[in-house]
Amino acid sequence: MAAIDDMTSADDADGGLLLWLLVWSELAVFSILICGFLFLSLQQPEAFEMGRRHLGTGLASFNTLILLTSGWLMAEAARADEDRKRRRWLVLAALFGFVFVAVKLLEYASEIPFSQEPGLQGFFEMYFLVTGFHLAHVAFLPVLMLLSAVRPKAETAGALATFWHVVDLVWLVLFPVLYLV
Amino acid sequence: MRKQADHWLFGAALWLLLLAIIASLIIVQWRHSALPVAAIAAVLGLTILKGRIVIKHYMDLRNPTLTLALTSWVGLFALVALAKALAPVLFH
Repeated sequence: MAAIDDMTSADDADGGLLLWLLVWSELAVFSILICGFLFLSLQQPEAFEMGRRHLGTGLASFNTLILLTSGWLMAEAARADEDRKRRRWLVLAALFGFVFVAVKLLEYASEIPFSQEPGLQGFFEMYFLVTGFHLAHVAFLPVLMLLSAVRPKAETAGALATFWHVVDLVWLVLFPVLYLV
Repeated sequence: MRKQADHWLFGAALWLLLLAIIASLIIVQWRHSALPVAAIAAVLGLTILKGRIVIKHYMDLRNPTLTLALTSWVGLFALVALAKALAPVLFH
């Protein structure tokens, strides 16, 4: 019981139990998607190898840098001691989030023509499912950042930062899984 | 004190970007051919390192259990990915 109390109080300091329930449920969904992708790549190695060669690796690499920079800006927002500074960091982090979305859509545009090639449908279905689910998170959270920048509270910025960093972590894992192995 | 923390965070961000650039250069280098297992292991090692920096410096969690759990999540999938990359080598 004491251990649970300790855990709960520490969780509160890190953003609250509800936030972490949400974070772990998201991680569980991403875990299933990643396992599904890896399982299918074992079942159809040639198709996945061919499909991978049509991916925009350069743009994805660039997007990694964009997302990590946005993560740094959100960390600054969570640590800011004045509302004015917090607002500035939140808006900058959101802008980088939107840049990620734009670059990802550009990448999709170069990949969609290959998605109907015979034998590659399975690869691209999984690829668009996994990256699309991640992209939905990246597109939604900057909107919340901009909304919270109107009245930048430390608790809101902290919770958004935690969730944003988890989205960062998911991308760090997705990048080698999708583009490398 | 606050200024020092800002410098630490900025330094962590620079390290993170540097590691991401190294990982990207490795991947792009072998874009049109199969990546050697050593290169895959290096990129996955960098993934764990990057995850560790995000968790330790960006998230700055107070609960060590959460820190460990998140680091394990990244590490687990890096290992699964490495196992998947090694599977064709080991079973052929």
